Amino acid sequence: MIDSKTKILLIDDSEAINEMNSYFFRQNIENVEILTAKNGKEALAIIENPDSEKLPDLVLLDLKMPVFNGIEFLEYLNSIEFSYKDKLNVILLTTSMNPDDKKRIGEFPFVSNYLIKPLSMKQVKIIISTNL
Amino acid sequence: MSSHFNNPRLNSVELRKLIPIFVSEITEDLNAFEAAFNSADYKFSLEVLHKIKGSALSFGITALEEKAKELLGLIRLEKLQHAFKELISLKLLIRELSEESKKIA
Repeated sequence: MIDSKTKILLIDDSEAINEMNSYFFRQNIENVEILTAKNGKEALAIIENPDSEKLPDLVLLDLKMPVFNGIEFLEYLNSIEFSYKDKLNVILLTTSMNPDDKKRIGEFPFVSNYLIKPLSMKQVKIIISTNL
Repeated sequence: MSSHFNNPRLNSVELRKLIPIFVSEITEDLNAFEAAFNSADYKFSLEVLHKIKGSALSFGITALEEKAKELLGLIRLEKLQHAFKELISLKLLIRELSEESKKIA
């Protein structure tokens, strides 16, 4: 069981998918805060928010989004320095992984895994046990 | 009565409450796809179809997933007349989903 408040950031351009994934995590973690963003730009605003008490313990990131897609988001994070960087943990969630994207993803040390959509309750349990 | 929404992905009351959000989104996505397709912005139309496919997968709507995949293939192969016919089929399917969603308590 996880005792301290866990913070998870879900990034997907579909509100419906964010809500579904949020439900899966809330079913498996007590005392969790779920934040959602529709694109990389919104996600950065959350991560860079100076008023935030705690940065996300885990980020689930869709690859294909309008307005700053997954790769652009990762490239930006990789290019800047911030104290949280070594603790950043991003899991990609995508419908497909073409070889070029897969190669690009390998360049980012803070991406721990990629999963093919749709996320299932079983996968969420595995994510929690291995990452949180 | 058979419904696209009676599927293993939507196996809880909480998840079924998300159906109106899903339907609203795919309706918007359909409009965006149609506008892009009709203005020959095939790159954007593929992006929108990809989004529809992802939503369909997450909500277990196999018919919609298959239709999106079919259209993705047709547009990539530039079989645009065929794609136009399948666009009509996609519209009918999304209308059907919208009607079904209204019957869900």
